[in-house]
Amino acid sequence: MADTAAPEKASSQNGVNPLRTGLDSTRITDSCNIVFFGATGDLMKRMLLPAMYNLRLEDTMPKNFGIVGFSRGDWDDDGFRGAMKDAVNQFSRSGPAKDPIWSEFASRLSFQQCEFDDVECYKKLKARLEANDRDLGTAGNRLFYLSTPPSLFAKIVDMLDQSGLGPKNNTKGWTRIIVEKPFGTDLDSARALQAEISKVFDEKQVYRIDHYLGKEPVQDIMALRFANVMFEPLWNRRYIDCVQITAAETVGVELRGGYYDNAGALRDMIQNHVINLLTLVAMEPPVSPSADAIRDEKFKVLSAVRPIAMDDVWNVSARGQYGPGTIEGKAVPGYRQEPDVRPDSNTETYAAVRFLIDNWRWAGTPFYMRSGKHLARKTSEIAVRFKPIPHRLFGEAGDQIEPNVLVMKIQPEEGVSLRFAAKVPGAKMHIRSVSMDFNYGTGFGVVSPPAYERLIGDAMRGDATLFTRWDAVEAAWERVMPVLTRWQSDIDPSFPNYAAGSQGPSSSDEMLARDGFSWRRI
Amino acid sequence: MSLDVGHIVAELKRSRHELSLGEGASHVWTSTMNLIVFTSSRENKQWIIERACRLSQKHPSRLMIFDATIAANPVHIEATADGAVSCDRIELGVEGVPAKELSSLAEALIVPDVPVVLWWTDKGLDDERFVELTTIANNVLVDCSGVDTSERSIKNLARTMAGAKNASFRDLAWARLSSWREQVAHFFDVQTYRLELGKLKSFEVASGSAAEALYLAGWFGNRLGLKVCNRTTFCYTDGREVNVQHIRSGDPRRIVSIKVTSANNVFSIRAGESWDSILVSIEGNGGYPERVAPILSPDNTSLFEHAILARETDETFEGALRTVGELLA
Repeated sequence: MADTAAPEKASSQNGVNPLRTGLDSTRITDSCNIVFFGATGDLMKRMLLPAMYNLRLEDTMPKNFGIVGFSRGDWDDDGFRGAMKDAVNQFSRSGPAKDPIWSEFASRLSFQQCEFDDVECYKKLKARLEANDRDLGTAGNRLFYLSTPPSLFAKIVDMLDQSGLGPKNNTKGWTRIIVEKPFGTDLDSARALQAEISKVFDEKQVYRIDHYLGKEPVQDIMALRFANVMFEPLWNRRYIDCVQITAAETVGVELRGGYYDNAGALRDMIQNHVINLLTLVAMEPPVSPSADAIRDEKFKVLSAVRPIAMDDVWNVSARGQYGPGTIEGKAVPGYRQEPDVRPDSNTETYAAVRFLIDNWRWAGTPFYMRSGKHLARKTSEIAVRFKPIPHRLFGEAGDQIEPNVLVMKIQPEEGVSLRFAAKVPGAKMHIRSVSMDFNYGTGFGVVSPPAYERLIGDAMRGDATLFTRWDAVEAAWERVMPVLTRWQSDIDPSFPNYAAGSQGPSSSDEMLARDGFSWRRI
Repeated sequence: MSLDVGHIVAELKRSRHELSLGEGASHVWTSTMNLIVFTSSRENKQWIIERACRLSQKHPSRLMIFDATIAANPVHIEATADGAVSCDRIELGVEGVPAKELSSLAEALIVPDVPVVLWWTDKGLDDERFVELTTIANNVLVDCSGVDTSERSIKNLARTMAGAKNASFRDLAWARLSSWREQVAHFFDVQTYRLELGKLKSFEVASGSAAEALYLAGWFGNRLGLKVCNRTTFCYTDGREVNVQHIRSGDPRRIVSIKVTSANNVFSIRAGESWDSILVSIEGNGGYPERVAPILSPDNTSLFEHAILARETDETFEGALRTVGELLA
């Protein structure tokens, strides 16, 4: 019955806790301080602090931790705690803050009021973190989360270095930094930002967030591809005709017009989220589940994406801007009528691009990507369309034998569907398409944590699998730059060119029609 | 009527055909598992059947409900679909049906190529029907403190598991303890305290039912390689004893406190005033006074789902249960 190792041996051997074996625990074991720059912002209130509270509620947080909010806001510690309690009450998925856990959690929150370019303030932050190490047992480990406007990232990193908060000065523990998207607004700004960050942090210490990667269904793509042997032999140019990746929203820009008008769909979605989906679909199987093995393959496939020639941009891309229309039965205004949007704005709310991947697996197979606001339906999916049958043996004259399509559904429904041909029962050989749909139901049992809880927890654990590495960020920018450059320099006189609630601009359909394809219906 | 497999299958086909004619036609059926639920409790069966139906709606299944409160007859046979999620529901009265016939009936109705999950909701884990049905199951799910707060169920489970070759077992009474085990383990993540594991004096649990206390003790002893000397004592290899005590206190299925005493420290966890918090403390060298910590108390729904999705043998659980069997021998 008993294990053979004497308990004395088992308990002291290589620091292994024998009671941990078989415990399905997600607990983060490293004590640490987490500093949120931009702590008075919307992201902190809606996502970040509720995520931290829920991690605590689920007993995932380490026993010893401290949370410091850093911002210009006029708060003290109590003011910050009060504001964060309101945020939890309003935005936490677990409902309002509950005592005694809330009180214990709040006792670990503190606030550093600061200008972002005041190095003396950062030194006060350093003293505060050292006090936390003594009083809260945070062991010298530090996680800095940049949730400020991107224009402040470089300054904050520099201040961390100047004040002695950078990793080179931390002899007691680890130092990591989480950077929110967007990582730059174009290739040059991304490189400039990277240059500033890399003066202070090694790549292994940098965690670039793409919250799409934290979504459960996106992780399902890896499971579908690499937990099933039957797809891999078909997963290449010989059998796949094209891949369509769609991230469609029914919402408009809402209150983000000020940010969005300087960004647009290409920067906001295609350059990061949608290109990340492309890498998951197109990558080679990694040699191991380690973060670097997976990210190596993602970068490899991105490097194989054919650069778009400047004079080819109009053939392989399409853009749109929504005008007034009807969404789910309600009339909505056009983009140029939205708050904080310029009345003559040239910003695209719809972007579509065709990429080709020049490698043995994918040569000649087009990857079409589209994303847009105020489209007919909210849907994110990856549709893999297989080649048509080479020779028609069956079917009556009027039958349409459609190619097989495998769809990985990301949101709002999660699941997989497969379209294949089947014979209609009866004397004649009628062939019809059948969709075999597999969805998990919802609303019962285990609920996946929201993306931010997963991602912040992973950063604290030092697991970078779901974060984007610099080489992939750079490669993604390189691929979209020709499109971005042309779009920025050419005003589109047709804007707005699609009605809210429609399938998008006709130019996008024309882009596929030139290759003999058509978009799946949104 | 009687339990005729041909009739049951025909009825199911008829139901599917009717469904395919209605809204959402051209249905393609998928299954992730066969879920067999056995109940003989008039009081609880509605709750049980409702949970089983909801579970099978999320995880497309062939659901077979064996109701031993009703004479042997089909009760309800229906194919249902909720959007794209499909479910076969076969509800049969099985009162008086002998064990071997019951397992043979279940085997005839199983959808091949997907796992068979048996959810036994009754307390009689020495019931012949339970033993027979475990022979066709891949996963067996029970709750040793669901309807029985004594040691009987867990003792029978240990015996059945010892004889079962193919199934992996899951007990909700064990699953409820994950957070408590995590808290106990967490004390010993610190190297200084980990050395105390070689100097233990006693392990004490206060709880409202026996299964939880026995599981905690069984887990603790098994993971540390302690030998069972008798019902209330573990022993180190050199003969030093560790006293094991269960204090009956509080509501069934709830832990009131856990106390681990060593030569230099007392590690304590006790339930807080709210259901989602506990108080942890360490007396002695380098200790600290009581502090609040969160405790997860997953609802039964989450526990079921986790249990049915787990396919591999849980060696930590089976090790703990074996030790429990030795304690109760």
